Amino acid sequence: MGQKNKSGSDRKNKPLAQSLVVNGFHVLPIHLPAPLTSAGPSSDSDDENDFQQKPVVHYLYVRKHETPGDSSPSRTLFIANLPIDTTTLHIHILFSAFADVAPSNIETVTFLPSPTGFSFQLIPSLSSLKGLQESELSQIRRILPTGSAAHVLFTDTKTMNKALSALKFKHDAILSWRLFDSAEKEIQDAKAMTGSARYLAIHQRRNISSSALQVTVDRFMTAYNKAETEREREAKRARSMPDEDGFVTVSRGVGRTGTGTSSDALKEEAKKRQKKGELKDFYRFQIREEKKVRMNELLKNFKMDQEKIRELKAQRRFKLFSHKLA
Amino acid sequence: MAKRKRPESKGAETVTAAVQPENEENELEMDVSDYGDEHFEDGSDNEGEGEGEGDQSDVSDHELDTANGLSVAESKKSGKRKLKVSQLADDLHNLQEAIQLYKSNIFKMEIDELLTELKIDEDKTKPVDRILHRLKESIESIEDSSELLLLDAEKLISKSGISIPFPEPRPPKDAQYRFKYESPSNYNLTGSYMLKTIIKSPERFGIDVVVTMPKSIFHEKDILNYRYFHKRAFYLAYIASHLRSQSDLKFDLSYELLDGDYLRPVLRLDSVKDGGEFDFHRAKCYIRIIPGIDQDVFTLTKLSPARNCVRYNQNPAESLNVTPYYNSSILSDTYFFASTVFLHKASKSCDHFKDAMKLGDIWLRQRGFDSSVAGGGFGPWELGLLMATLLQGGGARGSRILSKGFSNYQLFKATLKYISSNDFTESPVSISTEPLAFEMGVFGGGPVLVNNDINFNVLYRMSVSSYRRLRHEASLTVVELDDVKGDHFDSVFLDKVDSLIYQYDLAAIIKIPSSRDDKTYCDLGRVFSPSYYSYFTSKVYQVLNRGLGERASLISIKFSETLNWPLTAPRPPSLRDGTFTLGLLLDPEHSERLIVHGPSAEHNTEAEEFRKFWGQKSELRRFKDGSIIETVVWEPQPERSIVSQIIAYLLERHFSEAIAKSMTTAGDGIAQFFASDDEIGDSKAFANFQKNLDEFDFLRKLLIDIDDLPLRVSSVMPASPALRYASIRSPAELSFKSVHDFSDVVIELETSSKWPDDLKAVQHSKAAFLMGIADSIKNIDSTILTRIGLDRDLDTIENFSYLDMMLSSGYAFRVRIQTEREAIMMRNYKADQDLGRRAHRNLERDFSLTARHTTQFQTMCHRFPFLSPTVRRVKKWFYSHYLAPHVPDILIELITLYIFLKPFPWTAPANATTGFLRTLYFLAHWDWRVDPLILDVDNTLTIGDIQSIRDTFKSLRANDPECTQTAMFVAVNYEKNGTMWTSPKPSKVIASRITALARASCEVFKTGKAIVSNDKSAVAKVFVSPLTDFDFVIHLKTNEQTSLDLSYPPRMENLCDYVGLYCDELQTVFSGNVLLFRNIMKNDLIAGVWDPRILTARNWKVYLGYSTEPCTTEPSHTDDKNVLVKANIAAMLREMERLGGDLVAKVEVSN
Repeated sequence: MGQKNKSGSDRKNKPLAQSLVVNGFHVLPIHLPAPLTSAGPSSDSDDENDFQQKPVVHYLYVRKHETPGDSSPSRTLFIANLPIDTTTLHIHILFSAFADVAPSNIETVTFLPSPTGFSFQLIPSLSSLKGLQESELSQIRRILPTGSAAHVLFTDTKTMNKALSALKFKHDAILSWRLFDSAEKEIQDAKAMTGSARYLAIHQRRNISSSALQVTVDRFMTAYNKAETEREREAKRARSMPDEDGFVTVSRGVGRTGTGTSSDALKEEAKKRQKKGELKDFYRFQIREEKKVRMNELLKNFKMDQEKIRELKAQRRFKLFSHKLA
Repeated sequence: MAKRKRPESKGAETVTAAVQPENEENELEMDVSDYGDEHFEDGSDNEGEGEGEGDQSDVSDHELDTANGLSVAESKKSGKRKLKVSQLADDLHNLQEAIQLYKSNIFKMEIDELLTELKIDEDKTKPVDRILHRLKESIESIEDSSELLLLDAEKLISKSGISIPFPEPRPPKDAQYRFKYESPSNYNLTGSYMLKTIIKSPERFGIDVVVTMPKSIFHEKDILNYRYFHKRAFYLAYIASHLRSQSDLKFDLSYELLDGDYLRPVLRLDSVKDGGEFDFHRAKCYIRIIPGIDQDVFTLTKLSPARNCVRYNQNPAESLNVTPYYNSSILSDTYFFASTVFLHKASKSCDHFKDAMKLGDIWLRQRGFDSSVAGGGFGPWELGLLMATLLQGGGARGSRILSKGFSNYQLFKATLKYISSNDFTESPVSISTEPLAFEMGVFGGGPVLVNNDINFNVLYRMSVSSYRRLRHEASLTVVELDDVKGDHFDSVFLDKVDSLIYQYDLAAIIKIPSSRDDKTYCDLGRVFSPSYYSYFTSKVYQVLNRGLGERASLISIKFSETLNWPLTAPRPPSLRDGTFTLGLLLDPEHSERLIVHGPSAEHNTEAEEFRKFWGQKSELRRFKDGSIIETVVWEPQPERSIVSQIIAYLLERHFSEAIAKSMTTAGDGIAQFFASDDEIGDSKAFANFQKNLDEFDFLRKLLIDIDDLPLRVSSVMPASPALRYASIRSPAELSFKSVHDFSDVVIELETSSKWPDDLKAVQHSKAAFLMGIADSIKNIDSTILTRIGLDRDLDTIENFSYLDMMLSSGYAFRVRIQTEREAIMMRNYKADQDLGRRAHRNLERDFSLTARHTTQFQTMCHRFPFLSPTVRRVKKWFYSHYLAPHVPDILIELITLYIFLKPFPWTAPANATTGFLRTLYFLAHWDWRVDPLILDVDNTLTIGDIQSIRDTFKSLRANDPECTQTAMFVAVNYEKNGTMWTSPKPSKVIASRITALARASCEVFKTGKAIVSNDKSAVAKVFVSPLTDFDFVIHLKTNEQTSLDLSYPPRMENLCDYVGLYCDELQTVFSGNVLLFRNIMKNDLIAGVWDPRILTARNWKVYLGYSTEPCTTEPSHTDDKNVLVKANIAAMLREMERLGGDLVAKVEVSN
């Protein structure tokens, strides 16, 4: 922590120092403020170890985005290591604050899916729910996995470059990660988007009214049935229509095959195979083989046992009185 | 061949060496000389492979070694081919033999290995033989004394500054008989050392030297009134004074009681550690000089147990009493040589006799038995005598029980079987078919083993309680050995069985008063039982045995006495007060019954006796069937079991209040801790579970009867801890304070071909069905509240919907639908095979398997009445250590169930505290890296099943030796793959933490304080995880109001699991970088541990998967590719804090 404070004061002495570049990425430090509560700072704020009182610096890594093989000038910045609560609005405010780029100059912000492929499946998303009532429509802010990245597409290359060049130098003060200027608004936002309000909203979303779910399910099933009939018709058509060469492709009907399961089929197959089996102990050589196999099996077990004993010995299992109870 | 001379011989080949003598005898199949050859080739083969060799340089094989020296060299050249063939034959032979003569091949090898381990180092005992010779010379050189009266004798001995170890009562001052020392007529080595059946152990062993006192110093009447013992004590003191005066014989001399027999002190010689001529401390032994007599000194028939040898003139009535203990003590002195010879002969005639004795020795030792009075009076020597007897007879009409051809294992097992199936207190063990010369009753109900013609009862020191315990242990072991499915080697031989806190359902420490305060311990009592401790404890045993009746299946009483005192000190009186430990095994069916039924009032004498026994507590009661009988009624108390109430009452009534008060029960502290716990201590728990099940049945009928849906409900299955007696909090009326109070239920619909062919469509149809059910239920019973809920996003192939049903009684259920079809479709999910497989596994685990487990566990809770309270306590432990998010409930249940199914070497616990302690003990010692846990709940697993489960485990470990995928492996009848509830959770880190925490908890118990003094703070320690173990702790604001609000219907906010959702989201957002811990029943904090890998600096990449900070903030002009980054812990914590918002009170980071 101390290190960071020091570097902060360094920055004040040398306002136009170059910012750190890591592997082609410009490093942009930002302050993550403590969650503001309407109650104000807690009473034991004198506590040296109180984590909440310390300034916390988060680092963004920014680079120009270039698609390989695409020679046209890029308008996109690639930002890595976003804080988990990042929204498009955060990005807008960020660029207007340190590069003086108006939100209108940013076309889109695309959050990239994390390669670890994790999404919080526990929150039923609004997109898959239909027919929600007014009270159920509350927004639940999407939280990114840690270390997520985004593409920021600017309206033109110039603004992009402006933003990029602003990155190259360090700034007097480290930017604070927030949405609103007024603390009050910030508190309101945090209250609505995090903590108990957030989880109550999730809880409510998961306990939706059955009327809403009914609508959702009905819509899904209608769409599904439609698609299914469509597919069936298509298949039928394909079966009766000769192709360019005048051939008719023979394909399996879409009709159901009943409730037979694959495991049933396997069993059936196994049964058939068994029936076909030859007599096992008919010829003398078979009996001899059989005997040999059994002998080898025994021997193998014997060797395995020996091996096991050796292992046990290695674990000093036979040393008595040395372990366990007092 | 120079290499051959190296002494060490380890490795599996010793197995071959050990069985060799038998092969030689079995000449039918094996050519002896040929055998020797191939034996050597073993060695040379090993040599070739560069391993250590000299496989059969077993001590006994010396001759063979040298004799075959040449042939080895030759056969070495003769090529490997012959070698292979002969070794094969050799292995096969061993194998066949092992299968015939032992439990299994591996069991035989384990026994062989154990026996090698038990062998004492003969090099170290070598100096002892020389010392024994010198000792003999020295004793023989002692000059005879003149005939002395008591005063003169004492004077003479006290000259050398030592005392005569006279037993109580001391000789009367005016004793007219004379003491005399004459050179011993014989000087013999006897006992285990002579027989070479000593096993290696941490304690020093005794080498017994018997000096036979000549007949000439005794008089025919010396058997009366302790005169023999007084003369014997003088004889011993005389030798002691002589040895002490010889300055060149340097020993540490002291007196000791032989096997705790108060009448028979012996002289003990310990080595001094001066490196001199008589230094044998490295041999780990001591020498005992035991005065004995020949069998012709006294008329042995007068010493029969049914005769009287102690006469007191004061009370002529008493003088007629038999004195079996006293008589046996004298007989015992005549029996040293004879018994050694008897055992020696047995070992000559039966090859494996000695090994069997050693096995018996270790078996007895682990169970706390030895030859002394305190050790139960049954040691390896007694076992050997029993075994030797059984080699000659013991069966019906004198038939032999053991055969000379038995293997050591067979001898051992058959002997235990004999102990367990014969009652030596009813019918004595004896070679001859002739009836005994005395009544069985004279030994006060103790066991009798007689194998000679002098009517000496070898088991005269054995108390009834110790004999009952021996039989109990023997039958338990026989059960284990008979079990072909398990190995049990560890619990039979390696595990320490004798343990106060783990072995018994109730264990207590109780005071023994001073014998001076006991008026009943008169002359007669003393004659019968020279040790007051054993006198007192046997009285306690009788009282408790009667008072507890069928409540206790075993009453074990143990005490320890000082057996050893210096020559100069007077003999320590047996008067001092001490303690004994009481251990009870309870019968879970009867132990907590409230009423003791006595005899009917009509039977006068019996009723009188009953009243006398129970005192004021007994009262006449009239029962429903009209009978009027004497009864004792107990009140159930939350802190005190009925059994301990009974014990306390009886101790007070039959002994004294002080003794009753002195009782401290082991584990009481823990029991009280649980009793005062809001959730566990709920005495109505069982009734509440039952009520929940009843309500479930009601719901089941309701659901099955629904007939206005396209498909009918075909089955309704319970799938929740609350429906299998296993949730910490018992389901109570109007209690659903949180999401945890909903009992999960799985239903199936009748099969239909109309389900859609798409998984998402199936899930949506299931949701539609649930809504249909909700509508139907509303029509049937409008008091039932229903609410639909979603488990996850709808865009999934897995089940997303459930239906909550809250009955007006307050019990709540959460219903999900499972279909056969979706399982098949998931398994064959073409779009994403991996996803499909995962979904299928989840489905199996959360639906069908949980339902099966629930039904099975219900049954088990009925079979083991204490399983339910135990598992709830164990869960409390897991939850208290914040492990709940990482350890599935079912895993905890299975581990606990294992303690009940496989309690060996103990019995299934009949007390929740004992069950809890044992589970922790198991967790502390379970090496899950190498041992799979296999549960056979209904005894239907075949040997093949078990083998295939083991194979599964083996290949699992072979593929993943680091246990990254699966740490613990728990297979059960309905889940033979063994990983359903152990993979991916608990991970290796968590599994190791469980082990560490269990060890720490056991350590608290081990130091004893928590158990014996019932120190509450120490007990509480077991349930507190030190927060310093974690990297950070997020303290949460506890929300009091939700837990108090009992409104019905419950408000939505009250059912929201804020912390659970928060924690789940954190774990998802920070996925693999952090492990989060919390107590899901308490919600006071979330503790976390970072993955140590992210803390080290590394090169920057776009997708490291965690928030990073550069290690340096100094900018460089060139784009430095070598700038390292490390995890930005502070920022990530801040992010967590921000997300938690008003839920978080404080974040604490440990240094």
